[in-house]
Amino acid sequence: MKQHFIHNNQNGIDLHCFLGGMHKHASKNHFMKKSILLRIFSLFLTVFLLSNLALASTEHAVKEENSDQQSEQIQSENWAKAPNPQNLEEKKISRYAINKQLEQGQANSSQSLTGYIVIIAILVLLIFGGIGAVMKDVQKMTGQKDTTNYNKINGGLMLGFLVLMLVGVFYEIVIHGKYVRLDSSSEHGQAIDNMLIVTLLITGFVFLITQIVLFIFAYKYQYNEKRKALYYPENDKLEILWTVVPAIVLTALVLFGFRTWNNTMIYHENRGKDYTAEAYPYQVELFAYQFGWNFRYPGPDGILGKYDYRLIDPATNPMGIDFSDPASKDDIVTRDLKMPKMELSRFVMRSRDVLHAAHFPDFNAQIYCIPNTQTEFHIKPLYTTTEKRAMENNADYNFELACNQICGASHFNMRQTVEVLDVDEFNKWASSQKAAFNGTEEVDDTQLSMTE
Amino acid sequence: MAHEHHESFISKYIFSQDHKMIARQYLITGIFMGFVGGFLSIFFRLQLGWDGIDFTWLNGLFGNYLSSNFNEATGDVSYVLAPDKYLALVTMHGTILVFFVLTAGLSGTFSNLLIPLQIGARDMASPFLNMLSYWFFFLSTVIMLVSLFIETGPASAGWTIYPPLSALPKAIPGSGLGMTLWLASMAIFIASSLMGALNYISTVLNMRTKGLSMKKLPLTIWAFFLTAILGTLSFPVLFSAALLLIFDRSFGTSFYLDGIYLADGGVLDKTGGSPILFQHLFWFLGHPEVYIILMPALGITSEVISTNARKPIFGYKAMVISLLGISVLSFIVWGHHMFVTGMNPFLGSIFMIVTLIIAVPSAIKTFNYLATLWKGNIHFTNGMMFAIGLVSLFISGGLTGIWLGNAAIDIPLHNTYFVVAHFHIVMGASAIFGMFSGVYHWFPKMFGRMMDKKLGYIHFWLTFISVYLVFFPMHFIGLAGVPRRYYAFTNFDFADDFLDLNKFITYAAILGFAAQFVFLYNFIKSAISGEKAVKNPWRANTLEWSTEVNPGHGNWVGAIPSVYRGPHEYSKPGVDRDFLPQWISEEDLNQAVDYDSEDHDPIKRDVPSTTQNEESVTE
Amino acid sequence: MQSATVKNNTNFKIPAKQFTVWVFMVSVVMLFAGLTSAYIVRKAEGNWMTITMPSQFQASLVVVLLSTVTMGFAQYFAKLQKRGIVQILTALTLVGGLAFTALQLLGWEYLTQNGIYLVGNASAGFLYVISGLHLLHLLGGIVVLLVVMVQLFDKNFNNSKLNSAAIYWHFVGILWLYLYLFLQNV
Repeated sequence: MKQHFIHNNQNGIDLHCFLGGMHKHASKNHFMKKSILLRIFSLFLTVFLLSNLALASTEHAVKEENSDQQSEQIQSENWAKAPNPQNLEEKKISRYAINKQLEQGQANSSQSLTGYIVIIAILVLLIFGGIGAVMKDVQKMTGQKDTTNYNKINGGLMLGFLVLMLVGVFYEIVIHGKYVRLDSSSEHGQAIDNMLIVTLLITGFVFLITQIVLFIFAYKYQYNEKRKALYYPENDKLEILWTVVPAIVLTALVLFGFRTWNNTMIYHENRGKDYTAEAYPYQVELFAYQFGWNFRYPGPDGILGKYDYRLIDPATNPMGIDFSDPASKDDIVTRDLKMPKMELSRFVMRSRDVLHAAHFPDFNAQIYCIPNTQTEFHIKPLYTTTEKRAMENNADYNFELACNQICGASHFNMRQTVEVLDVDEFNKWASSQKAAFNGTEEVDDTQLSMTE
Repeated sequence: MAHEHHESFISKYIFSQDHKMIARQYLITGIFMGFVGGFLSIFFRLQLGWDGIDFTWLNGLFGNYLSSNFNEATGDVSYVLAPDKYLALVTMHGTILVFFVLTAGLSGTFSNLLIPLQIGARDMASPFLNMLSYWFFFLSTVIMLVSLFIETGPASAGWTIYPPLSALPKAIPGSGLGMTLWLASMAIFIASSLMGALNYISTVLNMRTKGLSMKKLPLTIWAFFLTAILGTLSFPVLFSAALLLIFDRSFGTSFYLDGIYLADGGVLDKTGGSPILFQHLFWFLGHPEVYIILMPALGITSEVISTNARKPIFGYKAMVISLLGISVLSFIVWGHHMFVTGMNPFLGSIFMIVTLIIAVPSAIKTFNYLATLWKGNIHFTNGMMFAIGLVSLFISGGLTGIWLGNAAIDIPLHNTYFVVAHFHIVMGASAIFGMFSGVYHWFPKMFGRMMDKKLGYIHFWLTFISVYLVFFPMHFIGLAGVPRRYYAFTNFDFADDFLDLNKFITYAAILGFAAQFVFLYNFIKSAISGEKAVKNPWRANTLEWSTEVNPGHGNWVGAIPSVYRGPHEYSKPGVDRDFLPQWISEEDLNQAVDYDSEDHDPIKRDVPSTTQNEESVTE
Repeated sequence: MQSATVKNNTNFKIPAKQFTVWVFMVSVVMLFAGLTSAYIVRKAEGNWMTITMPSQFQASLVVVLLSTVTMGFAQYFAKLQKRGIVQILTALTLVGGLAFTALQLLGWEYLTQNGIYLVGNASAGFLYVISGLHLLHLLGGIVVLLVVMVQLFDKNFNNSKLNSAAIYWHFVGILWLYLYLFLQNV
């Protein structure tokens, strides 16, 4: 039984002109010539405007840079007057922080480039459209069909893209790779760096091979009417090969990673046991809050005392230390973070309000800070700050601590510098600190110069 | 017309129960939300490129996102993006793109369009439920968009909305009404997703036409089917996480909260909760969610590559097994998002092992795509370009997943730009490319017209290049340790080096966003006045191409065709043409019925003959 | 590649719409699985009050199980096309559902009278949330029952809607059995 379908009546490919319809007039050619000229003219006009804009915006950007520098000057003068909460030389200042502290509007003299950018983008698109429209008109006028072999063009572009991609990747690695420090300043961090390099080599190799194969295949096997594709639906042996090989490689990575992970986190074997001063002579409690850090050292007894979040009072007891615990009475509360070189510091982390994360890029260390719950991480720094400055050839270099879990407006602004000292210097510093407890269950706040 | 019954405007276009109309509705809403999400990203990328950039021009509509600065020296008032609103923007960008565009927009569109058509069904198992699923989705979209404009701002705790930040309005303003609206919207969204998923599963299992065994299903259907199963199993757990969060926020419970002192509010009387519990519940959905996004894109890619390379997809069995493997494994890897939360390292090891295992099926699929291209005869249609682009992006993004899945390496890289680069490339860009590929490929089916292919090429190359330009450099930013969700890079020495790179990335992002307008123009213009399509413009094998160009309700005039073979019989030796559709019976073949006669290939350069003759189709 | 025989359109013995109900039930199971795992994890952390189920919950368990029995009989008589009896049985089931609702509310009232509130110890919180969510699902089942009951006035009523409703009703009843035992034992 036959069914009847309604078909589209189609005579070849219909070319539409998308900047305006074309009518079949006797004076078609004349009309077309005029509008083509018009379009070419508007194309040039667009290019002209565009280049002017580009020039104008670069001038503007230059002006902006200059005024930026000016306002930076103002910033630093003001900053000199502001109390420095961390008793350290600060190179970078957050404008937001200044606003908050000085209650002074931050001069933002830069005008936005956005307007320019938007206009430029629109003009670029108009140019593309203009070129396309002109091309279509020309073809229509000469009665040609669009015989451009787009397949060939795109095949070529695939190859071109491959080259561009490889060049780009190489460029990126050279230019921005140097900002990636693969010489971690902590002991476990070096093991992680080794892991990183191995993974990079393996995945980089796979990346290169597969991307090259992909784009070369795309180019090489583009449509050729003389050729028929190869009907080759499956090959189980091949499937097994490229199941097993990745599995083996990944297993190797897993084993390597398993070892590195365990070595980094191995202290968890001691979970729940007492952290005695003998086992861990260097301990720090890291307390994160919206938006800064407090630190607690165990003092001469080497034990961090108990805490109770209900005792938290930013002015008198910011970390909520429970001074009824005798071990708390000699604890030291500061806003400075110092660590001894080549000694394992046991960090316990806690948060006051929301989730934060303690992130030390220099030490390849990171762990969440949870309210009223302690997490922990152990770091053994390999260099003092002075040594690292010499290594980096930068007298202003500092190890830094950042917050790495979204925690509110000033999440980006919880900067803390970390100072690594020689063991003797560290011990000297630690013993010179006054205990937080001043006999009245209140914290001695002379070491806390800025409370928020 | 295929169907006789008379439909009112409302029942045909608005509350349609025709799966094809619903697919178009999902697509249009998805595209709209895509532009919203993209616009939000430009907004915050401008801030990242030029810290403190002046946004006075946004004051009218988006004044609630700005804070003012008073310059004493000049007496000017300028408006900058407020830091907490920066977080609102990244939150909404993530939420809108992950859920509204890449889950609903991708699955909703193509599952709805293709499942009945490719399996030979008149419509879904429950067209009414299907209609409801769209309108629930629409409602959730409206609520989410409304939250963008309220005074205290939309949800601002990241798309992952971890408590306590998301539970306490005093911790960040967006956690007030904005977060409530977010939760309301997501609850409705989850209902919509589930309704869709139920339909997809039932329809695929129960309503296949004669001869269509599971082993002959197109890979698109396998992908949509498994995606729907993943959704059914994982979205309810997100719902439970959100439910407990609603109780914590509004009813005074403390499932997630414990021992909190807020600067503005003092000690909270909430004890006994655990924020980590939320993370477990959230990521139990969160991880399958990324496969819910990715699998439809992979399914579409399989289909498009096979059709346009004129070759069977290499290793159909392996592809199906990989999809199954990914589906099953996706449920046991969620902990890799939580390596640095302080969890027991032994647990971390387990998650690490399983996470690296899940790389294997993804690798298999990639190699199969490459093998499909090998010795093919490739037509670079727009759909094919995006499919090839997806393979490239999937490789790049998937490989960095191996870095992050390794727990020790995750320690320095967690929550840094490395992660941002990874998921944007492997999930964001790949899935969007899958979506574009599908749109270009099935546009003739949805709108009866062809999209302009030159504009399509421009769209592809601009997008593809800008995706790499935007996200490749981010790997280095992340390796240097720069955290994500940072309003500015100006406050840390280790981030200093990248201030200029941010400008470059922003320029590239603007280019990428602008390129989408080429697509939008092409989409709209082609839908209205594009070149009229023929029945089977890509000369493909699957069942959807056997219907009329604009099938009405019921899809096939007369009987539904039966299926006689698998979906990838391209360039089969002994067959005249380089394709052999599923619905051509052996009888027809023997009688040398020319199933290619009324098609002309817009890809070919020669002008095909015109035929207006009747075509016979067996019942 | 060729298929000499053709298969039926429906690959299962039940209609597609009924199958949809089964899939929905899977998602509801996952919802409660998420909540009960959260319960277990939280319980392991300590600071956990043990609560004995109020007698009203025991009564409601009995009631809901009885109502699944009446619903089962309704399905049986529906197969025999005895519309009148089916109407009575579904009405009884509905009554059972309403009684269940009342008993749940009374159970909560009893808890609050004894100082166990939603806000407070986590175990109480979970108890309220889990039982409340279950009640919501049962109310949904009541709505479906009402729809079916209206349908039953049509002489040519279709079994499949009744069967779908019945499957869901059994599910909700058995779910309460599981939840009750789960909440009781721990």
